[in-house]
Amino acid sequence: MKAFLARQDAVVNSSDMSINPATSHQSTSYLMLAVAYGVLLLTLTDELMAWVIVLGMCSLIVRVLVYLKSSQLPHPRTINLLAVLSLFALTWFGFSIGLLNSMINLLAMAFALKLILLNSKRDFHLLFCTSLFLIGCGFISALSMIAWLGYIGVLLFLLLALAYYHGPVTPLRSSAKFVATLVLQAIPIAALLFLVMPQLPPLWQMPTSKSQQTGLSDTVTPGDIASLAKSSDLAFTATFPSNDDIPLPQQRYWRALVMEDFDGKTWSISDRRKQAERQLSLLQKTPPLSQLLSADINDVTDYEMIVEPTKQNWLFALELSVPNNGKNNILANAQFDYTLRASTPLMSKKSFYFTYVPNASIDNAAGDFERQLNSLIPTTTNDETRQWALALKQQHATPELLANAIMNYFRQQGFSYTLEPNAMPVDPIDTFLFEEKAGFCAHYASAMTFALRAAGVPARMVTGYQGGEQLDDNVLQVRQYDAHAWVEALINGQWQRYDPTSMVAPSRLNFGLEQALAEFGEKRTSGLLGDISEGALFMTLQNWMRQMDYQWSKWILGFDANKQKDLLEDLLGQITTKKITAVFLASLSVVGVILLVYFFPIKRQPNRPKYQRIYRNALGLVEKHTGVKRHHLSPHQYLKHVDNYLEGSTKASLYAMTELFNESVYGGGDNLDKPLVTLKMKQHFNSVKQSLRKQNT
Amino acid sequence: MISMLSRALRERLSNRWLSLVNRWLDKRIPPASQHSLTMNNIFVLPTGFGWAFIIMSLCLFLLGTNYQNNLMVLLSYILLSIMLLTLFYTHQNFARLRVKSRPLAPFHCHQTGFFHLAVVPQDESDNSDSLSQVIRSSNAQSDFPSSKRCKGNIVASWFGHKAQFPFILDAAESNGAENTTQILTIPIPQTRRGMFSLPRLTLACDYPLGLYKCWTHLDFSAETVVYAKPLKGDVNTVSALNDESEESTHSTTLTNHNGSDFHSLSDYKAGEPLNRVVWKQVAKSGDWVVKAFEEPGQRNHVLSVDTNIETETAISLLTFHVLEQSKHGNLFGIQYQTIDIKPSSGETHTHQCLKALACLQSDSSLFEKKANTFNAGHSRKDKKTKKHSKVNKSASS
Repeated sequence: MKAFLARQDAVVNSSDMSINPATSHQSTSYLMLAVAYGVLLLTLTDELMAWVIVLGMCSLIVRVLVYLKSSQLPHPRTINLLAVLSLFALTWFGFSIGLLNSMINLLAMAFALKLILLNSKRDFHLLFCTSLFLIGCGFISALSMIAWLGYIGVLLFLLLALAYYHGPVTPLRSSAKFVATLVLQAIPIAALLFLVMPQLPPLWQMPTSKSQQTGLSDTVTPGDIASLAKSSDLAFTATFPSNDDIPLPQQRYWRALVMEDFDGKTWSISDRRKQAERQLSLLQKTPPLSQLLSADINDVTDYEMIVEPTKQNWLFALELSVPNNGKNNILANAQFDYTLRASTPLMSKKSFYFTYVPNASIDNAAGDFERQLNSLIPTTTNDETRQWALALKQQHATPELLANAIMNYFRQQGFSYTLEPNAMPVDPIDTFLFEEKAGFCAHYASAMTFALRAAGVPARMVTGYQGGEQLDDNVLQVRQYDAHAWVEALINGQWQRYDPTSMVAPSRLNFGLEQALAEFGEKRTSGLLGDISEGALFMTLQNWMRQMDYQWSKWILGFDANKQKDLLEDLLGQITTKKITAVFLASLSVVGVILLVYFFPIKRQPNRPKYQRIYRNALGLVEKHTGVKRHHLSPHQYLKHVDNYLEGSTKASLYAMTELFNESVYGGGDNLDKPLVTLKMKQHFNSVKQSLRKQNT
Repeated sequence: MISMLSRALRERLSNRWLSLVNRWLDKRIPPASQHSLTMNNIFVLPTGFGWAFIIMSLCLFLLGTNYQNNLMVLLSYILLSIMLLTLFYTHQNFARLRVKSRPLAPFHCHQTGFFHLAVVPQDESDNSDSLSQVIRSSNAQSDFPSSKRCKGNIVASWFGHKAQFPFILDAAESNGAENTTQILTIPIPQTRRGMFSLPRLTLACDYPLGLYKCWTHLDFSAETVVYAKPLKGDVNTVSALNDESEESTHSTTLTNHNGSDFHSLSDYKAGEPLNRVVWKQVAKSGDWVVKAFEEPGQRNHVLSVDTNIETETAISLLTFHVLEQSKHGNLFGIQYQTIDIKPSSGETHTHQCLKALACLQSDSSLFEKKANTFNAGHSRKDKKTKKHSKVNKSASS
């Protein structure tokens, strides 16, 4: 037995010793695949759990060691054990991270384990396909142009590994050249497909990842929005027809959610409201927002919004906007609280079309139900505020006066605007109104809503965004730090907007958050980066990047069935079935032409001297005249062959030409007087031509 | 019963199918000793990996559609375009292959025969006119640089056989020279004696990405004799010394000492043992002459086997002795069943004998080849002059 094992070892060693170029190519491409996998892991940090990334990195290290010949491949049994353990861990954590993420984790984990054992063509191909899928998963969260270019780079690298694997003696450089050419050639075809292939609606509901909610949330505890203010991520981009159509800064209220339920600390969307919405939609009642446009209102503005993925249903739009669902790929549905909901969660950047109706009012759409819902307050907390509100109610006859009094209170009592207010764990509204007197927009909105309700005026908190930076003449960009909260009070059957923050920091509305904070001696972002970001160069660069990102979002990410239709209509006018068929056929033939350009074997004439070309032409004339093909005959043989067909003068010239040809090709060498030979050839050629013509006539 | 029937049916169907395919292939790719691959004789289909690649692209498309993610959709379009382009690249690469068969040497059926296939550089076999070739070679640098050669792994297999023989096309790459030909040596799957015509050779290549497999079935119309397996043993040796019907010039006039006597000088014929060459003469005049010896009785003989020995064994025995005799440069003939070959020597003679033996019909008449029609003229039997003597031939002799 021992002897047998020893012999087997010897066999293994001997096969190791004789490394032919093929196996060295193989192990190099295995390593390249592993490196590409490592890069993919690092880009998927949002989706992957830390231990999966660690596992993947370990397998990468194993691969590197195997490549450097300092380690043997581990035994498959070890890996199987590891696989079982990992599966247990994954099922344990899987419930908390959602179906989609656990699938991605499973894929990455299986990849890592297979990578350790990778030793055959089949496995290599399997892992190649898996890494293509991982690239696809990367696009779930990374949508920027930079990310796309990066992933195309990874794809190039993977293809290089594949080409290197299949070209056992091809040098790396020529493989790289081939792969680069291949992808460059593929991109025009892909672009054409992208433009022409129909943009389908989602075929079925896909699982969404849980951890990935960005932007506003459906509950607000004062202080939450302050944390959002630290993020300068893009929330959405709005494109207006022209500069004049952009609303003034103080009118830029982007309404998103209505919070009607308050438990003493946290505002949230009321369950009763959700239930009511469901019932109303079952009864097929039309929300008042949808009916806004049927009234004869001029002064409306159509605009387009490119919304960053929120993984949520709710949408935001200028107060008030009617969804233009004829153009929307994902339907935006109006609710009875005048908010908007998308028909599917926003998993990627999407375009929405709205019509802005500036002078519309928000009516009490649900009657007493709404009035009741928005009058409820917890009666056990915030006693001081409730008494204060009741006192105010005594002094002011109408709800308007009462609301104004509260607004004035904020202005006069030395409140300050800050991103980092102190914690207010007990009776937060009392503490805020009468002790701290410093807070962020949600504090003000929360306090005012509570006070209004306590005074018997139905009120609710609205969250959304306020403001927006102008990117272009007609483009506004709203970032996460523009998140805002304000108050709506039901007065005379209409919901009136009150923004208590504007009392404290008036510049918040006109000049944005940074300016408002600066007046209170605060900065939105702290540290070194803040100083750099004020430099002129940096600003230009940033603006340039934002521009590029905007174009990218508009044309690549936001390209949908409508954009496609618009584009085709711009090109062809009215769309008909015939035209669509023509477009498809045309693009097919364009692909065909592209392929022809790439692959048609262009027979390049060898670069012959001129006298040789003349000689060949002369032979061609003879062929044509006699009808005898030359095939493989040498010139002399051929001339003998056609001897009978030719006249004496033609023959003489031809023989002279042949002499000349042979002399200059075989005899001449370097001291050949080419112009002279060419001249002589030309003369002979002309005489051959003439005599042949004579013969023909 | 039913299973047997169905098996028979299946066999018949598959045979019929095979013959159809063969007929179609004969029309499509006619036999030739040299093949240039073109549109007409190349087949292309995606490999398993290619299909997986397509399915992966479609999955990405579905995922992208369901998440309304244009980047994923774009990625899937790029992958599909790559798939499309690779189709052409794979074909383009394979179409650069030029192969030329080397003559097929005879071999014994217990050995493995080898078929040598030369991968010729494109310009050598380029069938454009000789003039352009002359000019090309006079133009110092070649019009076809090494990058224009077929590259990658070539897998050879015989049509209808499972065994695969992979080769790496690397001549140009490793030597840097452009006009080197690489020889692929492919084992032949033949285990029976007789005339053997080479089956179609399947060459396949998946360069550059392994997404597609290009292949072709080439018929080189090569034929050879597969000699019988030699077997040590005894045969009858019939001395042909007094055979009057023999046209052999050596007569009985010379006395024989010690087995062999110097007789005269004669011209060297290919296959004669080198130890008989008169090297002095070669050095002097350049003429290759050999010492001709008067053959003793035992050395000029006809081999035969008793009829009671089974045919296959007999053929093997005779084959062994033909080889032995040939090695020693003896004059010998064969007489067995329908074979009657007069004593002679030399390479051609040996081949003739071995071929006759190889093509002899077996008892079970398994070999329905054209067999030994070539020695029909010698088939008459002259028994009256035969002097039988049984000689024990040891293996060492």
